[in-house]
Amino acid sequence: MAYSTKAKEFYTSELKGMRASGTFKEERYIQSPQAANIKVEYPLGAAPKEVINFCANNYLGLSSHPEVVEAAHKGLDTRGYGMSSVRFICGTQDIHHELEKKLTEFLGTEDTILFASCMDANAAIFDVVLDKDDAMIADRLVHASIVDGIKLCKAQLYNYKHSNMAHLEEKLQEASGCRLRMIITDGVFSMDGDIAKLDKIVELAEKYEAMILVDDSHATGFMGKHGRGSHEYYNVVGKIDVITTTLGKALGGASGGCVSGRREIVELCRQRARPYLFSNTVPPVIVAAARKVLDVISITTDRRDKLEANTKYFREKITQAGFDIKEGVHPIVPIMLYNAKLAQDMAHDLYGEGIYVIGFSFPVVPKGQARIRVQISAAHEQEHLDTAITAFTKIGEKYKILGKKKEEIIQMYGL
Amino acid sequence: MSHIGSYDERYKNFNWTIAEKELDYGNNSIYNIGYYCSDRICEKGLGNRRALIWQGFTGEVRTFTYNDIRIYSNCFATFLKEVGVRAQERVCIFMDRIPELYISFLGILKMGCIAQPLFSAFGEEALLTRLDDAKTRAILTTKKHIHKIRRLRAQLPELTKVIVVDAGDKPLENDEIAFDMDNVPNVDHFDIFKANRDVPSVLHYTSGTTGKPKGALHVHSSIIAQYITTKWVLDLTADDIYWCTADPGWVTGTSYGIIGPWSNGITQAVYDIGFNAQKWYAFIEKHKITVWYSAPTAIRLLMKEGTELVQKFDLSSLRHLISVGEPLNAEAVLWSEQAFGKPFHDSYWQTETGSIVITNYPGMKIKPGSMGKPFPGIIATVLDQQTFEPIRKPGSVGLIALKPGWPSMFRTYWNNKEIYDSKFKNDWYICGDRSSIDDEGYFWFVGRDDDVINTAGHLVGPFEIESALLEHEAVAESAAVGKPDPINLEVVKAFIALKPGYEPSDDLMINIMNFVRKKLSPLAMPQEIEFVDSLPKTRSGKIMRRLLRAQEWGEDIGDTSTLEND
Amino acid sequence: MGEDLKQLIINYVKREYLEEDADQEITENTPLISSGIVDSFSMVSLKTFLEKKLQIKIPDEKATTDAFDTINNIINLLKEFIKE
Repeated sequence: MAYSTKAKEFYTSELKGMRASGTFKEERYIQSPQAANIKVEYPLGAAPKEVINFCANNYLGLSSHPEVVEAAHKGLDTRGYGMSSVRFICGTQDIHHELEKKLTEFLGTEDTILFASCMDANAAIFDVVLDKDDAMIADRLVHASIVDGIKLCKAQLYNYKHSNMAHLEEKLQEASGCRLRMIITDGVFSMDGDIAKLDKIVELAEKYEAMILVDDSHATGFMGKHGRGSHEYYNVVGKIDVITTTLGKALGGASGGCVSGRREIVELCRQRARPYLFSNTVPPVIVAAARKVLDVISITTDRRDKLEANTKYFREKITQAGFDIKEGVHPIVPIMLYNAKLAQDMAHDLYGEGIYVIGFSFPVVPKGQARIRVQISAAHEQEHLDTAITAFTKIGEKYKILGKKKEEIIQMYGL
Repeated sequence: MSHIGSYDERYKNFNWTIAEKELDYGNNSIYNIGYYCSDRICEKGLGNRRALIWQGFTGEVRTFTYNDIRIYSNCFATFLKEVGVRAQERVCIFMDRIPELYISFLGILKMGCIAQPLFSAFGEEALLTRLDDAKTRAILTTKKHIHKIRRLRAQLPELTKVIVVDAGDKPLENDEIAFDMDNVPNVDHFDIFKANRDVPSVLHYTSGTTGKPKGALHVHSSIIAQYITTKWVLDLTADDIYWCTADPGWVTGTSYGIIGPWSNGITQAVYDIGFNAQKWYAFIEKHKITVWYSAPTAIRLLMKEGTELVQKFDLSSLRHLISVGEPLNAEAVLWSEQAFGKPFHDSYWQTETGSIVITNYPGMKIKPGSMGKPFPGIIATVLDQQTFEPIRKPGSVGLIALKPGWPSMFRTYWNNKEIYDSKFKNDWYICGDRSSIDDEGYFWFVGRDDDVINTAGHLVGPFEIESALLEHEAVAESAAVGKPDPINLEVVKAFIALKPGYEPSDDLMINIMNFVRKKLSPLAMPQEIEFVDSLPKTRSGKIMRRLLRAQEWGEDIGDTSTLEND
Repeated sequence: MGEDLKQLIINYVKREYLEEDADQEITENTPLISSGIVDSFSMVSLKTFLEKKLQIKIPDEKATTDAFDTINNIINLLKEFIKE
């Protein structure tokens, strides 16, 4: 036993530091299924409160969809609970294979391999396909899981300024001596809800003979006409070499992820990807439900259409109410407040009004970019959206920020 | 001038997007057939145009405008949703040709379900096979047919919604639900299920040589082909009154008895009646039918009644005649020219193709007895039976084959991907029929490539008949084959060996005939039974159906040593 | 012959073509084929039944759907073939 006083004190002071700087994260206990209306115990010990949820990635409202739940039950009944094995020994069922096929069809790729999460997929992929003679050219704001994956890979890293195509081109030129090049980006960036310029990226990739990897976790299921993702939104289906994405957001929201793309790359993942080789994959119950999710979204665009309409409605109304939002088309609607404390206070007051939203500030977003991130879902009805807009208006009035420009808010509350 | 104009020009310059553009297909991401057959026509300002003129066998007439069928189909869709039927579940329509059949078909599609129409003369065994295979959730039927379903309920656990559309005050049993479209509030707006292009829409069962009947699954975008073939082959225009004699229990009755005419905004007439030459002619006269789509069997039945009968009626409204279901013999073409002053145009297609694929066009020279030429956008050929390579030499007989990719091609057989896959060879879809192509590109039908019996344009599987026969207490073994018939092309003939203790007799024969009729359908009923001591078999004990068939057709049996190893 | 024959056909039609609990009445003037009670295929079993029972042969060209549409029509047709 060598958990020394020194160790204990060190960790305690780390935690204390987090609390002091406001980066300490607390869980809130939801006492209901994930949905538009949820019951939350917050602060801990308080009586549970009914609120409208605006901070889930439940974009399509499928997290507790009755058909999905039913499929999960059926999966549990017919394929059991656990596999007690990695995929290649005795941990693959027919339904795993079917789900991979369905994902391939939906994403418009050549093949797909499941991972226990998209975090695993991102951690695995780079080391599988790139080596020290190769180049990774990544957007500066890629998701943390990609940053980790990149760290595990020996290829040379080039970063380009966020969505800056001229800078990307410079980096591609710099990397021209490498054996293989891969451009790496999120499809949709989760804090701003902005979409990578995949049409331009495809042009540059063709010009400089680079592959493209897109993490489409915040787009799969609803971006593009049929919801295939940001590649469909930019009409470049078939031109993205690797898509990593998650089952943990729009696609039912349980867990699981995948790498989908060129046949050889996926095949190589089955041979070399460490999270695939050394960990169990998604359990049967999730696989069975995810199959249903893909069936539901493959036959109709109803849900993504409703999400699109909800997003448009909310963005219009909240702008009319006098809030300063980041423009765009994505259901992530960042309501800009700039000041961290203002964002926290307003989120707190909104919770009091029955609207569950989260304030984000540094280090999750850059300093002076604090905001409340609202996430719209197809599970929301117009009443939900109207209730939220009324509450936002009320709280916005309280803090006297309605109709105020960025500079005015900063003048009032500081950075 | 016909819609198609010059066939050669059309064929050369064809692209399916021509049809899509005319339909505005995919506007606002709407692909649902239900919308294109009702709402869209109303949106074009044609809501008051008649969509359906319906006449019952008693002479009663009902008329429905496009706005009526839009609203009534909304009522069906709303109702199905309310009783808990979900998108993509199979909903069977099992009724005679009453207005509810046609309108509920659209309602089922509007709410995103898969419509599964079944011929109302089907017996219990035939119904059970098809409802069980499709795991059908709901069935729409009438008092007349509910009995058959009642007797099957215990064997169909998935069939939880049994809906009677004409219950009136007749009491229903258990959980059956009454729905009367004339006595529910109008549903002016229904949120049509936004089905994607390739989402399943219609499931039609068809028979094969072996095994149970297979469900050919079609998708919403099939409407592209059904729309344009209706326009160019049936040549329908706004002023036409169109009559398709087919029952929507079969694919002709849905592709060209619902989807084709209604997506074109045409007025169609339906006569819920069995065959009767005088009444048919009277119907044409009364409603001034202009375009008539019928079948060779019906035409030959009319021939039997003679031209004198034709002359008792004013049939001058008839403008264009088309036929489907089995090869139209030259005599029938010539007779129709004599009787009606215009020829019947033969068209060739099948359940799997979803729309007409080879046909004779208005304005194109007809060669009596020929099926005509491929529809624009359809690449058709005949293949060598061994190599599956196209046969170039005119006049050589081969397997009719089509290049996959036309919009109304079936997408699978329900629960039977293997057989679906087996229908494709060398990237050709094999229709299962044999034909030759002459030096001008006309196709000439020869026959089927298997033991399936084509009776009056309907395919009947020998296996299904033999299975039903074996359930008869007196039957030890049997073989069902097609025998030539002047009216129906083929009819079913059964060879039966009886169990010990049973003797052939007229009563037994009639008893067996009726037994099959009630179990399967009148089409499957053997019209002739030959009692034999035993049936010819291969060394492995398989009944040599082909030998018996060849005998019926007076064909050379050929080398029986190969048959023995069949 | 008339009444016996009529009853013979009515009984056969009821037994073979109607549901047991159907409340439909069959008379000599009920349309059989055009009403869908007997379709043109099922007509064959009716024809065979009559041929065997009465020991006659009805030529195909006489066996039209109209000649079989009501029991009266059928009796009229049969009269041609039954020797008194």
